Amino acid sequence: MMSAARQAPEPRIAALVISDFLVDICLREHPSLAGRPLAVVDGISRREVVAANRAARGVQAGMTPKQARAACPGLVVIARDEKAEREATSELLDALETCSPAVEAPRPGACFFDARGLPGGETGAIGSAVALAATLGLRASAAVADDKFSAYCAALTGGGCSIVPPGASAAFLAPLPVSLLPLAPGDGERFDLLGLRLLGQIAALPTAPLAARFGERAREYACLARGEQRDPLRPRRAQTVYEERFAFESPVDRLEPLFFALRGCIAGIADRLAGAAQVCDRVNILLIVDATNSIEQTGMRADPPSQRAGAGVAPVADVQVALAEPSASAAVIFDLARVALESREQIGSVEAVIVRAAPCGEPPPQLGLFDGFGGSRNAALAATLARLHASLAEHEVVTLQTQGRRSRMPERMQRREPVTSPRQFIRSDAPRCRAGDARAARPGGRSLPQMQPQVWAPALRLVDPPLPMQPPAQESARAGPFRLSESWWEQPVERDYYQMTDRSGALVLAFFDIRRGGWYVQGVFD
Amino acid sequence: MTVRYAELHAHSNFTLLDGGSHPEELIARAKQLGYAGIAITDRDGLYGAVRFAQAGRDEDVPAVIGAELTMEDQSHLIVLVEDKTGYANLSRLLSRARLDHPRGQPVTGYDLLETHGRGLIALSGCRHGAMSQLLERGDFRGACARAAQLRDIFGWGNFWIELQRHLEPDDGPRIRALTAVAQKLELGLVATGGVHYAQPEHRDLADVLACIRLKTTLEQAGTQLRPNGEYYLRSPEEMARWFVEHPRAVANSVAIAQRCGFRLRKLENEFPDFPLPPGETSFSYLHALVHEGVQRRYRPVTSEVSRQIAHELAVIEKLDLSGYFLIVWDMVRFAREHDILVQGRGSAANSAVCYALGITSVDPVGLKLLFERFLSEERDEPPDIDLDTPSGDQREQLIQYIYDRYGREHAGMVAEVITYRARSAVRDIGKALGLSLDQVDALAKSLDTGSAATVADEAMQIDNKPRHTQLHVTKHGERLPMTAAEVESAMAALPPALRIDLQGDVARRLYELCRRIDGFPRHLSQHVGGMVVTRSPLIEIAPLEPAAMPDRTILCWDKDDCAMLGLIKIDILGLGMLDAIELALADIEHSRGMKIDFADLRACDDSRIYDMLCEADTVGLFQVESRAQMATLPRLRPRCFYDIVVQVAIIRPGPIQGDMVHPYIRRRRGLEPVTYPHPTLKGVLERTLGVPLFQEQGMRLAIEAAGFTPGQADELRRAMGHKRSREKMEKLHGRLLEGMARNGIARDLADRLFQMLSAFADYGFPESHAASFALIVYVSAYLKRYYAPEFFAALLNAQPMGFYSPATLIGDARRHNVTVLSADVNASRFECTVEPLEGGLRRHLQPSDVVTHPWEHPVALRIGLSLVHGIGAKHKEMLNAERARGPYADLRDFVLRTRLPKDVLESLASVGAFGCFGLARRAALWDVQRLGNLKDAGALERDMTVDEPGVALPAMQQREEAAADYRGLGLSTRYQIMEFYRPQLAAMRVRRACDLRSLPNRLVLKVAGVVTTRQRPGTAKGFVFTTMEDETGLINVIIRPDVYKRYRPIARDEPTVVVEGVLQRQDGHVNVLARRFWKLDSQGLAQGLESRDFH
Repeated sequence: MMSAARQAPEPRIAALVISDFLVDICLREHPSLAGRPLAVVDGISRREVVAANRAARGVQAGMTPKQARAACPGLVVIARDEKAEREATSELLDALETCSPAVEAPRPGACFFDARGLPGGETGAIGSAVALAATLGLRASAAVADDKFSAYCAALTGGGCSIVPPGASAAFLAPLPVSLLPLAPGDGERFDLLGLRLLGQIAALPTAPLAARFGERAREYACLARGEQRDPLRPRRAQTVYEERFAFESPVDRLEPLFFALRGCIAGIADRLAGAAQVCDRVNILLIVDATNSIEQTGMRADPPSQRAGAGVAPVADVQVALAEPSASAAVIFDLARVALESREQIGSVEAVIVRAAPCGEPPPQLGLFDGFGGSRNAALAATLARLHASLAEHEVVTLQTQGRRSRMPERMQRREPVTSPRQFIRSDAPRCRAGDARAARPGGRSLPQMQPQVWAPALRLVDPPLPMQPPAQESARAGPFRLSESWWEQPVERDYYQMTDRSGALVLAFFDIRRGGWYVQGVFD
Repeated sequence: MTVRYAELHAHSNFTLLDGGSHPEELIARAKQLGYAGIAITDRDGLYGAVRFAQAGRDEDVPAVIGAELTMEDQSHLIVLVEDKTGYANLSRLLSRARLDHPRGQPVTGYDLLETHGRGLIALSGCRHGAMSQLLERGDFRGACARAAQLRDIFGWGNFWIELQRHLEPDDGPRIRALTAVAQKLELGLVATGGVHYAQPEHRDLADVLACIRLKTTLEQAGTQLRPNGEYYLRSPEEMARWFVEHPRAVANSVAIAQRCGFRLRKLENEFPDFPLPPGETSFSYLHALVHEGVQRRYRPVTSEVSRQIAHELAVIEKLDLSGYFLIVWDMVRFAREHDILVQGRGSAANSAVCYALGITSVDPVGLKLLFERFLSEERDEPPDIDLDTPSGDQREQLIQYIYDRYGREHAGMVAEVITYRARSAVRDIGKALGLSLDQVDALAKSLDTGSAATVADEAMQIDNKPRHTQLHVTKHGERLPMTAAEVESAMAALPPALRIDLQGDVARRLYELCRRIDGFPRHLSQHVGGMVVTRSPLIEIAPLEPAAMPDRTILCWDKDDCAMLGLIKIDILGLGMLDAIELALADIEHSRGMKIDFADLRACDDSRIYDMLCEADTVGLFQVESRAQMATLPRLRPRCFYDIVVQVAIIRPGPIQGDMVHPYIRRRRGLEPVTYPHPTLKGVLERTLGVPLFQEQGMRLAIEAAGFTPGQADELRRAMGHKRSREKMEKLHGRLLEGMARNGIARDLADRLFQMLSAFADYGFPESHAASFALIVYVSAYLKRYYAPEFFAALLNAQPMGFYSPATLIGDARRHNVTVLSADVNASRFECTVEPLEGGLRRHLQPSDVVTHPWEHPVALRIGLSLVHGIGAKHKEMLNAERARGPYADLRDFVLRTRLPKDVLESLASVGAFGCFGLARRAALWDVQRLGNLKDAGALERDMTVDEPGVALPAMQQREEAAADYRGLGLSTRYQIMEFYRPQLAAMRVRRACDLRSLPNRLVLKVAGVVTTRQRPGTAKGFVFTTMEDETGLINVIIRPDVYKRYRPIARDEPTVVVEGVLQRQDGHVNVLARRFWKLDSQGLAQGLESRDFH
């Protein structure tokens, strides 16, 4: 037996489980919240609680923040930060890869890695893994077994570190509750009625009758319950970063030679991406700048010394080019890179240029940017956005979403949304303004558009937030008041609106705040 | 100069979920502001008109009746009633709008206005008026055309252009445009407020109501709410300021209000003609029927009977009510001819005429009942006859008979206005405030109070400390178990319900809004049995609308409104117990071949029935099964029919509040002498041992002690019962004291007598009513005593009814030695039945069985399939038809023939209903998993059989069987939960129910059981009465308010509890006065059990 095992070693899988992953992530980002009742919320149109810590008594998944606060006074509500989760997962995987070469992260808060032949043995490996997670601020438990399901169950139910000996998965799983299986809705209750409450009972049933009653999924239940899952590890792929370099014979301070070099580098990268059937959504252009040029002058970031192309040699300017859509098109990348560099006022004397691109995702159909074959409105939109993103900071490219039905207060009637992709416009019909919204967009709600011909209706440029103004003179001409009072249930607003000319003679929409007692300009009619 | 103004456009809260004030609040505010009049203009209805008119009379404010009509183009139009013709026309318009269109979407056509516009004054309406809408679209010509059309319909001077201002941006343009229309067509202008609430402070509630209507939250409602709070009643001066450019518009409001002279008040002679035989008048025919009935019912006919009959007939003739009695007699005749059990209840039983006509079943002469409680010359309202019938088809048969007999034009059901109570208010307002369904549901369920006004008080008493500290949630809400043991404990530790911070801002706002919404109408429903019949077409008297049930129309008013207008109402009330009695009689005839005639029981003299009542063996009986009744029975020890009458009447708020229960019991037991407040009252109070218990005694007391006429005495009774008639009460109080003084009764005694009267004037029973009910008590007791299996089967089939759940009824049946057989697909019918108790079925008593009444029964009770979870009325026909085809051969045959869904098959399997096929419960469940899909399979697959290896499933433990029974049936025919805990409970020295009677008084002990009922009567000063059941019987627990507060989460919500308390034994009745509670973790066993709480 022993020799046979040595001849064909069975897989050994370690599982690392972080039960309170989302909460731990929040606490990593906001350490001062430790010990306070905390709920993590997620969602766009309806935000709801997805996780909560133990101090958040009475809070349950699915509650809105308001409901959760009503349930637990003093609750801190934090928005789910998927970026932080990705980073934490990435850090955790990086760390775990120091334990094992093959690491898989199937879902947030759970990792598997190959536990065979690790220095320090299985106990040492999972001990180290738990310790590594702890250093990252994540409270984890870990276990090793022959298969992923057994290891996961052991980590989940054992607490700390557990080892399920080789060949003992079935025996280990047998006394555990059936609820640990990935059961389809209703199956749990049916198993309970049949008196099948332990994995061992499921394992003992013949598979065919079980499948005849519960469908093909029951075969998987049986397989898992017997510890016979042989789903191999799918380790995260080591990421390849494509890089092309070009060194000038002497520093250049004009764009033309820089573009010449850049075009070659980008073409090289594009070829490599295309060869691997990959695309990228971001390209980094590193400019090695002549040391005699000061950083202040160029306005460019200097990387820390350790990251410089040559330690202690020259500062590096990192120009990031974000693509509208993932692409492997050299023309697309180059055009954006050109816009990005042209928008910089000074680039200094460049000694060398390095272009890096990391592949991402599956290649989507790529819109043609600036190359004339796109033609469609979507393509033009994508091109425009890409140009804007290239020349402006990401958060500066926004779209205004009207929210005419949400409130009659002008400042609440629109919302700025960052634009990251032209798909936002394809998916959403929000920019279309309905008649009802148009009416509601006037302070006070309804209007009589046909009574006042459209040509009379001046456009209102919103002042957000409203600015205090001098009280108008008694004799000043004004129309109103139009009384607006709403939100009495949370932050009451009571305003008397007037259309009037201010002291400069401009036609403004102003209001008197009845609660606070001051005058404010809400907008200017163009 | 004083400005005069009348508000002609005001919505009350009867513009459902829109108006924010009661009609009375509008009137009160109008009076405060000195209005020259105010109109109620609720949308498409006159629901609040009667209350509004009454308040107008009370406050002396001209109350104009009107409505806002939704027109066919969805615009709004205000119409005001000028005269009686106008009222009839408005009623017709509103009726047609509802009867001719889908339910809940009333629409009035312009063509109807042309035919029914007389006597009405129309206003052009708010911003949703036709003119405003057309002007908003820029269609000035269209607006003029519509205005001209309406002017032509209503006539010159009867159509006015309405101007409203609410400080909104489009006020000015709209008013200018409307003024232009008026000028062009030479129409008058009138200013109105477009009012939706009386005072500015009511705006928040109006917004919340809007959210409830729109099914949204305040946060999400946004622009669907009104932009500001300017829709309240403004002072005349303010209106004049706002319409300074149109002073005539303000003045015109007064002129229009003065023109609208119609006031909604008592209707006259609206009684329909009864179809008579040729040559008869209604009185002569009634006279003949009564005398025929007297000969049949009174043998011999004494002079006393003749005198009483003559007196009653004279009163009836004088009040011209013969037709009314004939109508009721006709209904009873129809019921008898169609074998429908029917019995008059209430004060009608005071009438010998009703007794002679067969309307009632107790002899008022023999019981010396006071006729004037039913009818008197002085009384300015029609008599009220309530008929009890079995609920269900037979009651419907009777209702349809009235429709057929008098025509749908003249008969209709009375509406019932469903108003906000504590739970509905918390649910609706909580959702509008943005709380989750779970949160509002949890809070609503935790409330004992019925009144929305006292939600805050009660919420403050709730212990809201979370008892569960562990929480593990993921995005999908599943638990993340840690260890195998924690998996189980985490399941148990999850919060049973979601709570809210009861001291928080949201909660406080909720309480405040609840306080104010209390009594607001939420929706209209059909009264359970109130019918109105009229001489004039009903459609001209009150707006009609279709009921949810087919073939029914309902009036827009509730019974109080109908009474206020003097409409003749007959209540046909479905009584669950009559249903049960009827079913039991049919079963007895079927199973034993015996036909029981109630005439044989009329003597009510079987001592064994009284023995049963004396020992409070009354679970399932009519009226006397409540905790309080059971506590009183062993002390009162009824031995004759009149004792039952007293028993029925004594446990009522009136006698309890008047502190009359204990004196009566002490006197009855000879523990204190029988005395009378005054010698003149001996005749009145002699039968009740000097203690007034009945309404009639209160009236007689006024007659004897203060010299009141019977009519005046009845007036006094009614004045005492109505809180709003304070002035009337004061007047009568003075007259009562004067009369008593004349008869030599000292002032302090007179005051005491007055207090005594007022305590039970409205909340006590009339003696006649108690007597009618007592008869049903006796019959139900008789059936339980001699035909227990049939009786319990009938009770189960007549559910929901009574105080106890089916599980408790089955427990009681078993203690009465009834063999209860479980559901079986081949043996059971749809309903519960009885079947011969053959040797094999005879129940063999186990040591754990406690049979308190070892009566012998030749039949057994078989549980019907209707009790199985998932099987409902829709399956009845199919199951009966299949069963009639013959027994099912096996499970496969059953599945293919019934084609029931898989979850129902699972329920049947889990309760052992496939036992007839030799299948154990789990084996049946295992097979159902495969065969359950057969109904959707093709023919080939249906005919295919599969050989598969046998599977050894663990057999169900007894506990598991019990749990499956409770989950699948709501009861168990073999087990009682507590028997599974008895060894542990015995180790803890927890006593059994059957042991309590033999234990010494004041012993401190522990008891445990399943909670079957919880009651907190308003008269009990916060005491809570709980009944628990263990495997040996019922245990009565009394919880003091302080103990209840401390242990509320357990005492109120846990299905199984352990109680430590002090044993109290008094006169054969045993209670446990609770001191401490523990939760008894039933580990899911009690999952399907329901207690009946806070009746």
